Amino acid sequence: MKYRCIVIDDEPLAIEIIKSHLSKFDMFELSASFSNAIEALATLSLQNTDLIFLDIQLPGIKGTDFLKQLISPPKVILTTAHREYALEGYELDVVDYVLKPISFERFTMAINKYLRQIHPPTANNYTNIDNDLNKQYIYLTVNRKVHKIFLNEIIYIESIKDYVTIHAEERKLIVKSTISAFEELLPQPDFMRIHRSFIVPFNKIKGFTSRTIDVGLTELPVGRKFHEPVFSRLKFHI
Amino acid sequence: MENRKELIFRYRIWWHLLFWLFWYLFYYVAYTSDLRSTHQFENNLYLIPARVLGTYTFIYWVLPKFLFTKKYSLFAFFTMVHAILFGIAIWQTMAIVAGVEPAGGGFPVIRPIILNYQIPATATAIVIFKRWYLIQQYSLKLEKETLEAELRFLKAQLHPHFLFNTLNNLYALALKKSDKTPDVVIQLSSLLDHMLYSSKESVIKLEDDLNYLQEYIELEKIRYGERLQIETEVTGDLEGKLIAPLILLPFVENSFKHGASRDTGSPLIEIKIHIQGLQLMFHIRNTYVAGQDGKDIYSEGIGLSNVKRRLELIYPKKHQLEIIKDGKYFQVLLIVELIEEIETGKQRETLFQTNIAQP
Repeated sequence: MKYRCIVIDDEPLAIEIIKSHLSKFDMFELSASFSNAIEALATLSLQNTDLIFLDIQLPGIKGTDFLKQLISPPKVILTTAHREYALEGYELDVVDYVLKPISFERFTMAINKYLRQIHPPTANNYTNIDNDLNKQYIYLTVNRKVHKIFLNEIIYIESIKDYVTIHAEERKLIVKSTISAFEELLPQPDFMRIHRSFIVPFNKIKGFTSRTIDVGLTELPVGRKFHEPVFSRLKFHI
Repeated sequence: MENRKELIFRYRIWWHLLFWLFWYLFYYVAYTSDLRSTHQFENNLYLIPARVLGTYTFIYWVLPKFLFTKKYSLFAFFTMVHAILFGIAIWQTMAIVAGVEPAGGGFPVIRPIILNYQIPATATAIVIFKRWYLIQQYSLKLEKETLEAELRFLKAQLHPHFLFNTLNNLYALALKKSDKTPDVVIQLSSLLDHMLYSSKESVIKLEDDLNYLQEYIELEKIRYGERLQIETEVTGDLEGKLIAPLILLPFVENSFKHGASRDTGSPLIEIKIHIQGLQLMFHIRNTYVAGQDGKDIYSEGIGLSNVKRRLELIYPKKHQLEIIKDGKYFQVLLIVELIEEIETGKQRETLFQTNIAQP
C-alpha cells in the first residue's frame, strides 16, 4: 500500500516541484493536485488521503484556515514562501513546515518526519522490536539519489563534523545532517545515543565492557555523559 | 514613553514648593546667628513676593523670549535690565517693610542683586537642563522613527514572499531543465537591480520603467500559469521622457496581490498606458474578490498608501489619481506629468528639483 498524497498550491510550478520530488519515493504517490483548497474538499471526503502538501497563501481560503475547518484532517506538510507563519503552523500540529524554494534534501527530511509520526515509538515493548523495525524505514538522499533504509538494517550511526554516516548491512551512506537532527528521525527506545558521535540500535548490541559496546564487528566507545542510562538499560535486557 | 514619564516631570507644583522651601531655609540659616531669633524668619517672609516674581519673570519670559529664540544680544540686555529691577525690588521691600537700608554706599542696588540672584540663576539651570534633556529624548525618538520608516519603506518595496515564490518557480524550471530558466534568472536579477538601486534615483527613463514593469508581469505570469488572463497595451511616444521610479509598479503588484492571488477562477488584469506629450495616462483594471471577512482589502494595503504619499511628495498638483471599485472590477486611473529629458544627467536632476520645489 502506497501513501496517497495530494498537493494544494495555486502556482502550477510549485505543484510540479512536489510532484517531481515525490516521484522519487517508492512508497508515496500523488493522487491529485488542486489550485485552491475548496476544490480539494470533494476529493478529501471521497478517498482516503494520507498526506496533504498545503500552501498557505491560497485564493479563496487560506491554507491554515482550511486546515482548522477539517474535522479529522490527514497529516499535513505546510509549504510556503512566507516565513512569518511558522508559529501558526506548529500550533496546528502539522508534520512539518517547509519553506519555498523546497530543496530535495529538505523534502526528504519532511517525508521522514511523516514516516516517524505514523509509526509512533514502540514505548517499553522491547520484545516486538524486531518485527517493528522490519517494517519501518527512512529515506536518505545522497547525491540526489534516494536510498530507502529499513531500520533493522542499520548497524550504527556515526557523526563526523556536519555529516552523518549510516553504517548499514552491506552499505555505508553519508548524508549532510547533525546527529541530533538524525536522532529525531529514529524511534526512541529502539535506538540509543551512546556517545556524542554514535547512535546504535539496541537490538544490535552484541557485547559490552564497562567502556565500550560491540555492534557488528565494530567496537564503539560509550560517552561519559551517556554511561549511566546506557548501562542501566543493558544490565536489564541482556 | 508617556506612561513612564520621569519623576522630575511629575508633581510639578511640589517641585516648585520644594525649590522655594529650600531657598527660604537657606537664607534663614545662612543669615541668622541665632536660630531662635524670629527676625530673619520674618524678613525672609517679606522678600518672598519679590524673589518669586523676579525668578518666574526670568525663566518664563526672558529665557523663552530671547535665549531659546537665539537673540543673544537682546538676551544679555534684558538680563541686565532684569537684574537691576530685581535688585531694586528687593532693596525697596527691605527698606519699606523692614526699614533696613542695605550697605553698599553709592549703589544700594548692587548688594541685593549679589545676595539674591542665585535664586533665578538656579532656576535657570534647572530649566535649561530640563530643556536639554527633552530635546535629547526627542531627537533620539525622531532618529529611531526615521530609521523605522525607511526600513518599512524598503520592506514594502521588496516583498520577500514574491522573491521566494519566484525562486521556487525558478527551482521548478531548473529541475525540469526548462529552456525558460536562463530568461527568468535574468528577469529576476534585472527586477531586483531596479528595486534595489534605481529607487535611489529621483527620476529614470520612462522606457526603462516600463521594461521593469513588463519583467515583473512576466514573473507573475509564470507563477499563475494559464489561469491568469493579462493584457498590456502601451501607446504613444516614450522617447526622452522621465518618470519617478516605482510609481506604477505598486499598482500592478496590488492587482496581483489582491486580485489574482485571491481569485479561484480565472482572474483578469488589463493594463493600458498611453503617453500624450508629457502626460502619462495609466489605467489598470482587475477582477477582485472581497476579503473573506468582508473587510475592505484595498484601504489597508500598505503598498497603495505608500505610493499615494510618494505621489503627493514627488508630483504635488502634477498628478491625478482615481481609484474606482465596483462589484467586480478594481480600477486605478493615474495621470502623471512626465519630465522631458535634457542631454546631461546633471540638468535632469536640477529640472526635477525645481519641479518639486514649486508645489
